[in-house]
Amino acid sequence: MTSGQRSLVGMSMLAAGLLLVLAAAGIAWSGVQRWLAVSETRDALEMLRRDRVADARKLAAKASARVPDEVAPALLALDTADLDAVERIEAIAARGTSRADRETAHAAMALARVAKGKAAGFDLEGSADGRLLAAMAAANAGRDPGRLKPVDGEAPPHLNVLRAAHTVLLRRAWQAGKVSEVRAHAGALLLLRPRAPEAPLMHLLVGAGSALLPDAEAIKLCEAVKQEQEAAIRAVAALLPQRRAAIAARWPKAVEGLP
Amino acid sequence: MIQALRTVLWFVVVTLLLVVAAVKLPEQLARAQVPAEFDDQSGLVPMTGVWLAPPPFAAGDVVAFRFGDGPDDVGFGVVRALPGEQVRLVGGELLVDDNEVNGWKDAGLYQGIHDVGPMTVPAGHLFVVSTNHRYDSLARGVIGPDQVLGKVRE
Repeated sequence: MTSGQRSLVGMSMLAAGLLLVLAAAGIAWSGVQRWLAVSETRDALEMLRRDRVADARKLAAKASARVPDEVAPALLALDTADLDAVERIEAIAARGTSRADRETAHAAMALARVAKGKAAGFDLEGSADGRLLAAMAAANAGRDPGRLKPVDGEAPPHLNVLRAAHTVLLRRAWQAGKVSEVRAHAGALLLLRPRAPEAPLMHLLVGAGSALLPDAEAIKLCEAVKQEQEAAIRAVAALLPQRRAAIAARWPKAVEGLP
Repeated sequence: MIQALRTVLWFVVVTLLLVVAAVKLPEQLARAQVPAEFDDQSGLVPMTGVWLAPPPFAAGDVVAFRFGDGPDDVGFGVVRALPGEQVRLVGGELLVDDNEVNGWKDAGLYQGIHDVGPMTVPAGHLFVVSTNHRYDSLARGVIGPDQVLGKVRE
């Protein structure tokens, strides 16, 4: 091999090596970005579980900027009150390869639309999401949502849809004075999130709404409610006339003026 | 000529190793977040160096899951209900789709309250129950897909 040929081989190797190193660096960079995004998404979910919604959204937005084609961080970063932002999720969902991701995105978009009094906009027939959103829409329109009876073989509901539906239906049942429905929805919310800030109130509704719980125990549950305690206890006294005497003995103002 | 080929071969091997490291390193970093050894926090079985199997999970599987962001925030429990199944507490008994679950203790949960629920387990989530209920679904709610580390196996 002549020195010219050796130089040619060397230069070719150097060029190929540089290309490979650049490719490796690119793969490594995208891998690290993905890893950071996964880590941030996981932290955002943990924050959501602790009701730090604003912090979770901020962190999820950071993760979404790292992996713009991924549905999970984009959904976590989403402000559902902003319908334009909700519509943008559709484009990300369309790019998503996972069917579960697409279904989650569609459920989130449908929930945001129904919460704003609009049509769901997706065919969610055969899924629990569709059934729950229809009940929510009926409740919001002042119609009877009927009972939330599960249907065999339907796709399970998404967590946010389930929570939103139970919350809306609980509010409606409370306004209508339907104690058994209030207990059922409060029980579902309590089992879903037993450590949520509103859990003590759900516990109170489930307990005080049961004729089997003694008044003294119901009062203990009232004492455990910390969020807007006075208003909550007054609302419970209004819903449950049979508990009024016990509540009046401890919080006389809470029952003042109730019929 | 042989020397040149040997150099090229070494070069290719080293570069390939670099590429493999670049691809695998982030994966290993992600794995490193899962501790290799767990303390038994649910009182199920003393475990060290357990192996974890990926989904799908079935009712009765013992799973490890995260309940916080700390390295030791790992709990264990038995999967009692899968997505779409209904969970209800009636008279101190745990019912899944109206079938009584055997071998669980209520540990004084919801004392005096006869009936709690029903609650449908959401998509992707598990209802996991452990012995003392400190970190399980009865104490903290349904376990999300981001929390489940895997099924525990020998």
